[in-house]
Amino acid sequence: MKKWIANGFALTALLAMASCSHGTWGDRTISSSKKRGDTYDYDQGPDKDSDLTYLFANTPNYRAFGSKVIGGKGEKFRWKFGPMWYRGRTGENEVKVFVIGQEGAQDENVSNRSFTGSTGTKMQKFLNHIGINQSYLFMNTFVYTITGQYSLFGEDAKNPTKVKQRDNLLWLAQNPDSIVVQHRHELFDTVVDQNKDLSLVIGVGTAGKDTAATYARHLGGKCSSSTVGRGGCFVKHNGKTIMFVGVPHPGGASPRNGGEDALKRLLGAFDKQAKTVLKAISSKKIKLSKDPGAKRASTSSKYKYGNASIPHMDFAFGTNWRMGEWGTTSNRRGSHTIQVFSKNGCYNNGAKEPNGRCSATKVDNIKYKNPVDKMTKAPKQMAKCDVPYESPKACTDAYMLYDHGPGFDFSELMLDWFHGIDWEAMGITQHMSFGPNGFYRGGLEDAEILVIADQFSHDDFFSGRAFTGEMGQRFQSFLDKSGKEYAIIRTLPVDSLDLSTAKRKEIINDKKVTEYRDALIEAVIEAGSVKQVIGVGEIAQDVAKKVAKDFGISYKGYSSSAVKKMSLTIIPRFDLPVHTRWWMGTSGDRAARGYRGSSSNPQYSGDYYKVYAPRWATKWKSGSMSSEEVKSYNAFKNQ
Amino acid sequence: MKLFKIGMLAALLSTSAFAEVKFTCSYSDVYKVEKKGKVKTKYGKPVVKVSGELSETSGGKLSVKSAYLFGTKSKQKIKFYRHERENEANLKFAKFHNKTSEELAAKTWLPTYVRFSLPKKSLEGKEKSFPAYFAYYGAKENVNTIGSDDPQITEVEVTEEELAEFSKENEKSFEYKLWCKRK
Repeated sequence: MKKWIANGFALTALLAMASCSHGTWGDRTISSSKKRGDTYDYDQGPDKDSDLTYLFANTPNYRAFGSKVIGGKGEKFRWKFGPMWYRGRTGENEVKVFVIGQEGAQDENVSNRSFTGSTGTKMQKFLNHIGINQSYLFMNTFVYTITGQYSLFGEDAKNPTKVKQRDNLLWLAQNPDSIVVQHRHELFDTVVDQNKDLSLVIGVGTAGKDTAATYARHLGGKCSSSTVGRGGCFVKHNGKTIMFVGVPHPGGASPRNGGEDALKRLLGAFDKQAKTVLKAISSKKIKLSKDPGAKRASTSSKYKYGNASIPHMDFAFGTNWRMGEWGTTSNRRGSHTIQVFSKNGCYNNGAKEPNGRCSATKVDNIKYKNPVDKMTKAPKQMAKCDVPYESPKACTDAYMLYDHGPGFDFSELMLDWFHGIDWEAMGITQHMSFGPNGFYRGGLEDAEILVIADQFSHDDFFSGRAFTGEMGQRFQSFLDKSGKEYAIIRTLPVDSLDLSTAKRKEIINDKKVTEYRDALIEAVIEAGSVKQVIGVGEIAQDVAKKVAKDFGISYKGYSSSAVKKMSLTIIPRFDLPVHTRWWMGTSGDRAARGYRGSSSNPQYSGDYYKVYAPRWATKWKSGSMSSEEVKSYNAFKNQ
Repeated sequence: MKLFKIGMLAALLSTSAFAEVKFTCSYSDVYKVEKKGKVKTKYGKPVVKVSGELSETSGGKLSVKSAYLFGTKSKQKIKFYRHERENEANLKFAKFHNKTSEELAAKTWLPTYVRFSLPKKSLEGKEKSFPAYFAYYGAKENVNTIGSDDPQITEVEVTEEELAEFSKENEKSFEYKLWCKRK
């Protein structure tokens, strides 16, 4: 124990050094720290007993209802990676601006938050322009991504079948009798009612503007999509005035397609609407105070269109840092996988040109070793009403089982560990723009068992928690049997799986790495009532043995071969962040790292990681509609 | 008869001058599944199927089937035009897309923009199979009408910096590496 206290002095000096040396290993940390707020900040998710949590877990059956209403063959929503509900503040009196879009895409699926791709970073900049840097909330018209188009163009607009399907989609999206609209309005009502200072609603894109107008009418206003999209519409509600205004969808004006003219129109519309909002504020038509630390542009200043990074405080703890950093940072590969790329990587793995740009025509031949599905059917812990692509439904109390995060004290210790080490210089090949991954899992404040585990898979990169791949799922059966509270700390918070055992051992046992890790371990031991330290993996066993000896706690070790013999179970829902879809943390490893070359001699890239949905989940049938959904469908038929 | 022979000769000459390939391609989700200790490779339903005939110079009409992309199981018949690029001679793949040369020159925006690339060799040679790339860019917004219904929005100056800021990403875009068989 004495030794650790002595180390504490050295650690204090190290922490002080680290706080001064965030820039020592490149711009990535500097930009991440400054533009996006503190890296240890995170979104813990809504309170478990809040109305929003309950409503999220009561999402209608989009698949079944969508197929019935829209008609035709095929799925109407991309469902395999589940819904995306919100980004921003979910507590009371935390929201002043409410942003409504159409739907999420692949970035939102990876981050489990809305508006985190290129549309999200564009709107973040718009909010910053009007002096809002934290008191906002983003939601969408649809919580799932639609497969078709919200609007019809060209020849499609003359095709009667497509026109009928589009009309049906519009009914589903905007008619007050639609279950999708009713559910959305319940969410929006909760947001409006719990935020007395909410005074601005922004609709993004055609669907976002339609949805804002539909909701304004629901509140008693006389708004249309057109008034929302032009000078804005003002609605009196519960003694306050709410302005509804719209901006075009930034994602539509693609240079691959529309060219410079489309951009000019987009810029003009954004500039005009920024001025519309600022004039409404300055003329006191609405009461919208600036956020602390934010700057508000003047009514005459031109809006500078572009991206602004999304703060770390909007993401669950453990989300990779590429999410929301700048534009789109992932792409789909088939319907059951999504690939994330680093700052050095390219969208759809386009090859790097000599000038450093990503080629639109040449492809970097990145390959993956697809993980093996270890489960062929749904885990027994899933309730009958649950679906694999959503977090638990409200039909059982399991919807309240999720991990808010480590708490800010532990979070600071973890991030100091990451920032304090020059990982690249030590030989880590993962690109540092991804940030750390897999720090912890379990209850850090009340642990009876402390597990120190080596890295065994890339799952933690996507789950945001430690030891969540196949080995973690196997070891979980031991933890479940013990019936004790546990905390799991990984030996390194970065990906080192591509390195040799000797190299990993060298990094894990490095003096500075050890001191930072020990500071975290000491905090866990002091916070809880740890009676046993367990090492899992060849290198972790040595680390755990030393911890047990220093603190006079009993020790037990498990080699990887011993864990492989344990039966497979699932990572408990209470260990995973809010809105983690059911199939995550089940079925063995669900993630892989990209490589070049042959599978027998892979040259691992530090720039590409991929997550896979298991086959049992992607084969899931849409199921039948609930009685409320049937009632809504009958209203559609009888219109 | 003489005229018929001349016609046949002309037809032969025209086909030999313009390389063509008739093919069928698909991309499926691939899963490795362990059952009773044995690992098996399973293929999901094809995510994208492309089939038809392409001429190196004039393109052709391809049939694209993808419930995942189009939200319907029906085949989409799409006309693909040859799209020669700046450094065409140095590139191994021939690119086709659904923009006419006029639309390309006018930078016309299309709500559904699709691209198909296949090796130039496959157009000339007799490989039984070859890879190809299919890209789909779906619209989220009718950019042609952005601001156009609002008289207050006039032409704006666009700085170089703003142009550089303009993301090259469209969130509803997909690109697949397909495997094709010559028919």
